[in-house]
Amino acid sequence: MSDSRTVSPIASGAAAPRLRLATRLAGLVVLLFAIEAVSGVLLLVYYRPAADAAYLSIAAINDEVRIGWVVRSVHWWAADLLIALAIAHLVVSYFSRAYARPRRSAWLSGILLFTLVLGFGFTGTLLPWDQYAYWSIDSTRQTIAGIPGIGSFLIYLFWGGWELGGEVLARFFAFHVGILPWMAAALLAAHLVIAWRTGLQERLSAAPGAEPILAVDFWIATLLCIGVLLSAALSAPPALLGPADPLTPLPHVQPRWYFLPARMLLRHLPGAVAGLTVLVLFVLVSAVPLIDGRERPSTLATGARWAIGLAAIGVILWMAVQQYVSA
Amino acid sequence: MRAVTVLVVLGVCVASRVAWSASDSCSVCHSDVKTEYEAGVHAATVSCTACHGGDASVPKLEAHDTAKGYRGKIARADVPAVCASCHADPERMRNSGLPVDQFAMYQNSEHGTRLKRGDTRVAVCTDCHGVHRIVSHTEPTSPVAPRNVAATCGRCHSDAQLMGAYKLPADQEAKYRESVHGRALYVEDHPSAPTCATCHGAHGAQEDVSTACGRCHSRTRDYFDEGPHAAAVKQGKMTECASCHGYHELPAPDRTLFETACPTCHAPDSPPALTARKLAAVLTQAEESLDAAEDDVATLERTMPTAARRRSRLDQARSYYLEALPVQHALNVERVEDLTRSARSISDEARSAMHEAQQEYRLRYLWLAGIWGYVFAAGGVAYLYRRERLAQRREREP
Repeated sequence: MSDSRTVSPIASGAAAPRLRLATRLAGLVVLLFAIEAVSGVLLLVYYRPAADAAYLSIAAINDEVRIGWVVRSVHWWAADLLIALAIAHLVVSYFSRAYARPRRSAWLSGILLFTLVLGFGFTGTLLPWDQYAYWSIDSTRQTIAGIPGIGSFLIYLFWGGWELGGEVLARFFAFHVGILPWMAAALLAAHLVIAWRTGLQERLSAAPGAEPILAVDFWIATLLCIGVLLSAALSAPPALLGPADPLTPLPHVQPRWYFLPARMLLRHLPGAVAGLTVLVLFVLVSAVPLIDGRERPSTLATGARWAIGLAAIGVILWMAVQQYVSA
Repeated sequence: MRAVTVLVVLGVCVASRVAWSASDSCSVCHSDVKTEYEAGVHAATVSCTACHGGDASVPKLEAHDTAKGYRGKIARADVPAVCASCHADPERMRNSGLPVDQFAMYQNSEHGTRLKRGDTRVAVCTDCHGVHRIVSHTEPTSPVAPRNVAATCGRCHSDAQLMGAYKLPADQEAKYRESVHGRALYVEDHPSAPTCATCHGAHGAQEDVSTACGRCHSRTRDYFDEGPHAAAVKQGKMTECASCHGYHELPAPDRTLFETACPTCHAPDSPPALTARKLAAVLTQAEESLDAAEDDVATLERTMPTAARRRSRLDQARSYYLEALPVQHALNVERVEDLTRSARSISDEARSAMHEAQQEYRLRYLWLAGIWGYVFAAGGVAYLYRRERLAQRREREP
């Protein structure tokens, strides 16, 4: 009988071997990470990270390079799917207490990895240098500047000044393809090693001979994931608005869906308070294993975990919907 | 101690006297005027006495000394000359960046000539620029800022009783606001859209604006001068633009003008009327082709990434069409046809290329069908293999 609170062996014998849902989701996240890397390298062949060339190079990828628009669309949709599955992995890990001893470091590395994934999304949004890219990133400046203590530092790190121009594009490009991938690869490796050593290895060794069946499971999930990804990519390729024009603001610009709650905070709270709220939430989520770190929690702690988790999801979804319908 | 107190009191009195005498005594009584005046451009460089005369260094009514040039409230007839005492002086205006010919222009204007004849109801400087609070025309609250010019002129020119005396209509401001120029200024927020002063002149305001349009629409005038209407203008049979386009009401010009303006002079079956119908037809066809192609691109751009590259071809087609608009004033059907044909053929070519691309793009659904066929086939094989492995495990393990 599987117990979510302890490291349980894979059910063996007549039943099919089973892995945790979080582990299965993690497998798909790694798959999408690989798809992002491959499609990203393909885009890199034609992309030019300069203010006067970026938009034209993306337009050329869209219009002139054979199946260039498919590669761009796959890169776009795989990023969305990756973030969605990473969120699902995070949520399932939270509710299944995958953060408790001995996997506290797996939780922390996972949170950092998730932050890097959002960083990929943020920096990647600017690279097409079209109107949406320009004005959606420009509108986040106040949020970042509002983070207490490090807001100004981050603005100078990413923006290189206060204005959004070619220098910012070059910086975002450097982060997107030169810095974040290495950081993410290293953290991903660490995350996988920790997960392997703190349960996965034990679960697999408890059911000898189950690997081929698990591999088939992963293969079927991979096929379905790629099917969904290509369906989205081929039927709804990302739009490319006109080239970035600093003199013509794009009205009612919304950030990417995963930044909607943060934008809602910014709209209703002053910059510093919004930044502080995001920082406090980040610290709180990171510190979950310290707050609820015992191997076997009390009934009260379990109830509290579910109540807090569901409330947080509810509030975040509500904020996202409010922001979405406000435009 | 008492001596010290007396010295301090005396010192304060002397100091305040010095401070008071150096300041402007006018503001002691005219504090309301001072508030207005200080909000204007003159506060920095021009004192009250520069316009009103007198001596501001002495208190109260002593300042109103006619021996020192005090003239009090300036008579309307004298206002232009008083303003010109500085504004027509190149030496004084050197650092202001302003022209010094406004007074000369005013004197030759409709307003100025009537004023010379003793008509004090006409506009003088202060009617348009304000009195004590005079601000730059670049200041949005200025009565001569572009968005306020029509209202400023309208203060007199929309007064039916006042205009009746000059046998002028009083509906120009209302007509202007609804005209293509007025809408450009008030609806589209175009900062350089023409106002009353653009056509009539500002300081040298004239009623006759028969040649004003060509100052901005210079290409249109060039083509107009090549056409048969130029001779009619010289003979005084029509005005350069207003005969067809109107004056203040000036609607956005479109094909309907051929139906409304031409018949006012030409019989329906006359050769000029035939030319008008041909021009209207070729221009309408080109515009419809362009609009249809642009609609197609806009629709396809939302779903098909490869549609964007057609945009530049359509821009080229649009430029041929825009070139044809001034050319039509030469009333040369062949030249207009050449340009509109180019616009139409590029639009049609772009449309057909886009429809081909659209067909190609639709093939992606075939690709998707193939992909899902593979997913189900490969997934099905994997599932069967999985079932067999599980059955083998069941057999092996008791």
